Amino acid sequence: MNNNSEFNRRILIVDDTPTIHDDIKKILNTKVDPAVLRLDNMEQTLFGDTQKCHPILPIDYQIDSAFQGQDGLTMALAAVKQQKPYALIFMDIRMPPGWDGITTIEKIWAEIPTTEIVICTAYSDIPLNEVEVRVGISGRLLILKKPFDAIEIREIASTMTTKWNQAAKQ
Amino acid sequence: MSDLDLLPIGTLTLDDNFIVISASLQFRKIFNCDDSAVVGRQFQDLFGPRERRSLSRLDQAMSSYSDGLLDMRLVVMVFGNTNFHCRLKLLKIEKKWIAFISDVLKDDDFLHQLTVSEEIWTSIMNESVDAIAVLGADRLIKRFNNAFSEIMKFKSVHDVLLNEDAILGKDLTQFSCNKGFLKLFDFLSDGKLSPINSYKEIVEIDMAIFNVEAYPLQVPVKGFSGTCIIIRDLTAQHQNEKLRLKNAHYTGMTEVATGIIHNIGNLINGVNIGLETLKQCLRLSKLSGLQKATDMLRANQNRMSEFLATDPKGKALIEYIIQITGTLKSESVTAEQEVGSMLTKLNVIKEVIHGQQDYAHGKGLVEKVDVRKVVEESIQIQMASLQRHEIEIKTNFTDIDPVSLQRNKLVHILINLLTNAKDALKSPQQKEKIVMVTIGKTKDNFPFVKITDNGPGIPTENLDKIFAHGFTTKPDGHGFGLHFCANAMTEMGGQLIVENQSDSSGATFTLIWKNL
Repeated sequence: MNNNSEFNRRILIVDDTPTIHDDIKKILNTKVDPAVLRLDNMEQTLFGDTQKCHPILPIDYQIDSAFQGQDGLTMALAAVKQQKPYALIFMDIRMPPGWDGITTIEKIWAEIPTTEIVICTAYSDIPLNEVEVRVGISGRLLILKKPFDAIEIREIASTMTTKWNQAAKQ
Repeated sequence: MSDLDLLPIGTLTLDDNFIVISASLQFRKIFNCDDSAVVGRQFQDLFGPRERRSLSRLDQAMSSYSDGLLDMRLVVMVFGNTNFHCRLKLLKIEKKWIAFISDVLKDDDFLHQLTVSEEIWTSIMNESVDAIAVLGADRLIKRFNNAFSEIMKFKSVHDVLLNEDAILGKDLTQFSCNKGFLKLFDFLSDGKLSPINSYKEIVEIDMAIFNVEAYPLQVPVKGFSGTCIIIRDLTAQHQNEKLRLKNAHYTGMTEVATGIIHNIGNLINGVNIGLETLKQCLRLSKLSGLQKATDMLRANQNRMSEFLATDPKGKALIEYIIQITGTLKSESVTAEQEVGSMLTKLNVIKEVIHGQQDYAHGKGLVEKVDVRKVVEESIQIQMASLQRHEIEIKTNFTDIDPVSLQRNKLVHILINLLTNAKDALKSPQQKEKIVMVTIGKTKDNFPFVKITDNGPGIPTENLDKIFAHGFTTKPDGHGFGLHFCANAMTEMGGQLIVENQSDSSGATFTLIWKNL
């Protein structure tokens, strides 16, 4: 069903807090300023430095935002229609007044079961049991508690999108 | 055969002077007589000489009759030697009376019915969890049930096991030694009880809570007058209510805690990421490159012009320094941005915490409050800020009765709403800035306060989520204000309603108290 010729790095963030969108986008935007790269090269010739500097392999993610569960489903469905499905969705749990995250996951997986999802919540009382009861243990779900670290987001994004692409090849 | 013959109950037709004109088929059947036995007779004579009580009630009822159906539940008519107990209804049509006679029972049947009815009532009385008693004149006990006997401690104050007969006919106020009901006894003794002045009180006795009611009984049939006492044990109900209240309180606290975790959690996330970005920015800073460049310059201090002019490294170094300046500049811009955004987030965290502190202080006394005074004070508090934004306050106050509420909370709500109204009028496009405050009563007599602004109104899609926790459209908002207001109003037996003006000029927030 997917267009397998390209490596899918499309991510959707579903969260009612705008700053979380900014945070994730900031973390995943690891592109290095070309000016800095030029300086790195110059340092190589000038000082003979071989050290550092950018351990992060820049990955070019395409990141979209939805602020309510309903919008999240709509966007995910539209993306599939355009043959540009999301590999990974970061999903908040509580998004008043609309659907909560678990409901949204149920609805998305009912239509697009291949989507990898990371539940991302700031609540301590997140009903984890409820998650298992309602969506089962699927092998496509991770849980991440806010506040999160940048490295968690980077590794999760890289691993989960890679996983999606491997699954799509088979 | 007249229409009346078709009725399943007996009827007599009387003339203006209560002389019987005709008897229906059913009447003749019931009383086993023919027309001649009744036609031409005075209606009252049918009641027999010994039924004076029925007669006097009948006379009284007929003389005061105006219209409609006159209903006497129990009269006794006499035919031959037999008493018939029946229900009599009288209706006047033009100059004639129609007498409907139903539920006719002969003496024996009547006694049986009475016994059955008595048994039913006795069993209902005794099964009842409520304590019930009927007192006659001078507070003498006529009837009582088991629960009443227990509550009044008839048995415990007397050594002998008392049976019902020993209690019946005694003066309740002398015979019960449960001191908890002294007030009731006083009330009964003072003879204050009347149809318009019945007794009702919640009494606490030995950790138990009772609802005590006494009211005069009027039983028209026997002309009996007495007092009915009903006592209900509310202890369990009260405990449940306390528990419910406690639970509601915990739920509220959990909600507040969850709210804080959510609001602050999200913000700390931003601060955390900002810090990491800043750290990365400093770690990878090209400042160290500048350091190396100046080291290289220093090392070549003695042959500076030669180094710069001919040495390939010297030429590259100039280019490097030119480049690095720009990069260092952009590094510092990034750092500044991150610090700025972290500061903003920390400020919002501070505000959320302040909001919580207000919440903590808001747990105040419920009192009868002059709403108008509180509204005026709240406006006064906000006045400076409103004037600064050139907002005109208009008021329309109607006098209303004091409302039971928590002063602090009402002030908090009003200030919140006034601030919102002010924010709605901030736009420079807004020419005339007016906030209208109205106090009044609805048609159903519910007191209300309305705060209306003439701003752009609230987008329809936001109307239903405006009270949701964490919802805000303000760049520096935390979405806690209206949520708090709505909750606080509910706690105070009121409601907070939002609507746009029908001509789409501004929004109205209404505080209304329907559960007074």
